[in-house]
Amino acid sequence: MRPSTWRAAWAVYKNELRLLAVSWLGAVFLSAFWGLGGLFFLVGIGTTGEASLRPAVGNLAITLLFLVPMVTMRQLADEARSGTLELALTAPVSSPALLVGKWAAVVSLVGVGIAGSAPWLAVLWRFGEPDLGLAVAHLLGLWLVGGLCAAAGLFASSLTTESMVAGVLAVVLLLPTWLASAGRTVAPAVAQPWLDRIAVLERLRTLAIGGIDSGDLVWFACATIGWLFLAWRVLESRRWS
Amino acid sequence: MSGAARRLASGINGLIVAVGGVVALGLVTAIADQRRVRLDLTADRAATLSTELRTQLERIRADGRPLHLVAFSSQARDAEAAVRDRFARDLVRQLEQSGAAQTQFVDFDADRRTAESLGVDRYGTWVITLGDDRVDLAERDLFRHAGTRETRALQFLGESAVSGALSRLLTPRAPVLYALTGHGERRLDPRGGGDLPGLAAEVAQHGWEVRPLDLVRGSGAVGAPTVPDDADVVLSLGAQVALTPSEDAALLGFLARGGALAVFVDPGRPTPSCLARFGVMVGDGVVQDTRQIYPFDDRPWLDVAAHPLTAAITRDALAVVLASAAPVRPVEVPGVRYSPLLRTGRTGWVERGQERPATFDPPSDAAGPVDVAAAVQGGGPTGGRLVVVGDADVLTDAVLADGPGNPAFVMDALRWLIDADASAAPVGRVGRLRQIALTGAQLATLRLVLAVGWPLVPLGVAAALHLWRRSR
Repeated sequence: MRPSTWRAAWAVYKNELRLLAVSWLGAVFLSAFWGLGGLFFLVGIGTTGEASLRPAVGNLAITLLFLVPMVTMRQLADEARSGTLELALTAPVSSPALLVGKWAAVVSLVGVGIAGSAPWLAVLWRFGEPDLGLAVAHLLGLWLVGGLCAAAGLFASSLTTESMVAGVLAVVLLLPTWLASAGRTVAPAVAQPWLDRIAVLERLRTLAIGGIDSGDLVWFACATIGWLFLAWRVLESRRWS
Repeated sequence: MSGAARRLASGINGLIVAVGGVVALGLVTAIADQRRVRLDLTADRAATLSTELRTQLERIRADGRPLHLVAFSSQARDAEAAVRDRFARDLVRQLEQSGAAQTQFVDFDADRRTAESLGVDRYGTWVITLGDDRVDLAERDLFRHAGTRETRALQFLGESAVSGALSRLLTPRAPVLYALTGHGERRLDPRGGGDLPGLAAEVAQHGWEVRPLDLVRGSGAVGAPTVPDDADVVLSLGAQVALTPSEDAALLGFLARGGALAVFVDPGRPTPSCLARFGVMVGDGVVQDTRQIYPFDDRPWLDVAAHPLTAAITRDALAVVLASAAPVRPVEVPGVRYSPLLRTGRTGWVERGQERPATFDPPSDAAGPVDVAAAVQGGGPTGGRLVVVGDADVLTDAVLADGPGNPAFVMDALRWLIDADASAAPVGRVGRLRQIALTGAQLATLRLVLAVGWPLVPLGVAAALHLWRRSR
């Protein structure tokens, strides 16, 4: 992207972040994230007795699959319906800048949600003997999932003018990547390596034990870029239609 | 070009670009998967296989035969099942990622067919096959509880157990253990049953071949009693009557040739006289200590002495429990090295009276510390090895399971006897559960704070912001 595109993306990002900050949407997202996360955390340490964020993070990752599309579903669909998207696309804001700005704002919101897990970490340190590196890996995994869901949500939102449809569509688009691990057990042997390739849970396993695998990081990056790329193509086709 | 044709061309162009972009990203991920770089963030390097296990996996690759591992889940009713399965899944995943093994984690309850096809009837079993050879690991090989009552914690021995299993699969000959018979010993039957089924299963799972040894009848009508040439270890499991002089001579000759003997003896029972000639003897009386394993009054609290055989037990703080043990003490014999393994503290003594409860009555009772298990090593390169334990009950299922360190102590003793000092300590690391301890009241408070109070903060801030904006 050219410097002007970055500047435009920064402007979109700030605007989106401001909107999320002053709207109830951001607050409800954070409230749900922290509430469910707190519940998962306490149930996890209660049942396993383990000083780890792992049970909470595992469940929160699945929660993000539903929560993030609730945030992204309005971002393009609502603007397309109200006609402001056409205005934005005719202004000196390129489609990639628009998408990157909006995506970064949602990822920042997820980041604030993850930062809000600090009280859980404080509990672990006060009453247990946790592994800081393991916790960092878990939270990094959660953030990567948030970024992926945000990108898929934006793509879904670019396809329709109905925000609810966009939300449901995003979940439908993301579900196969979540169910691929379960499908592996019933799939024929020839399909199993391919299911492994698209399975989010498989990509999180190394992070779950405290490791960072470059292959998994690249997969998350490519999957996220892939959804944003498809959203860009949709916006471009809309620009020229 | 008409509008419709232009839109069609534009659409096809867009589709080609989109498909091309997705394919390009797919290729990037495929290449990245081939050239992985890993970083371990954990303090105890839990996300990296131990050097020992990686070495074994390299040997497996060099061997060329396919390695398969099927891990079955723990019993779901078990409170620790989730943690056990989590440990198991993590290691299975790491082994799969190593590229040296094909792995499968099977829910024992959901997939009984796989269990039946492999002949597995217990939760938590791991089946490891290399070509046509197979080793099964029981759940007790993979997990144990270590530490004192206050610090008791679950430990995962998966890396160690898998390393051991791979080592056995790669080793052409299993060590042979001869169990003495004919003197009222406890029967060690490798096919199950017998008097010591738990020990039989343990030695079988560690790759030992068990055979009975009757020194008198086995030597035939003409020859003098002799220990078979293929014997790695001879085991005496609580003999009730004394060995004949010729049997004693056979054992002494075996030790002199560099053989290995393990003697487990109950208080008041005869011991092979060859022991004294090899630098150790079992004394009269029963060992007592004011520090006891509650609620038993015949199980003294034992300290583990420093020795290669006890290195793993010491490292993992495993308690070894003996019931009604006889004292073991050194005999001055030139050229042999006596090393205590288990002993009481200064509060222990040898009780020679009959009073109950037992009390220390000098001078008839001998003051502690008292040894209850010892290792003796002969001099020179062919020096034999001997382990003497003043309790044969330790081998029974009841006592074997009572002491967290008992199975490890017995198996490490056998390994030390065959000069496998390096493997006396478990190969690989011990995965430990980082625990968190919360009282009910603390949990209730945290539930209120973390699941109710903290999530209300963003809503409160949003409400305040909303009111502030309305007021303006």
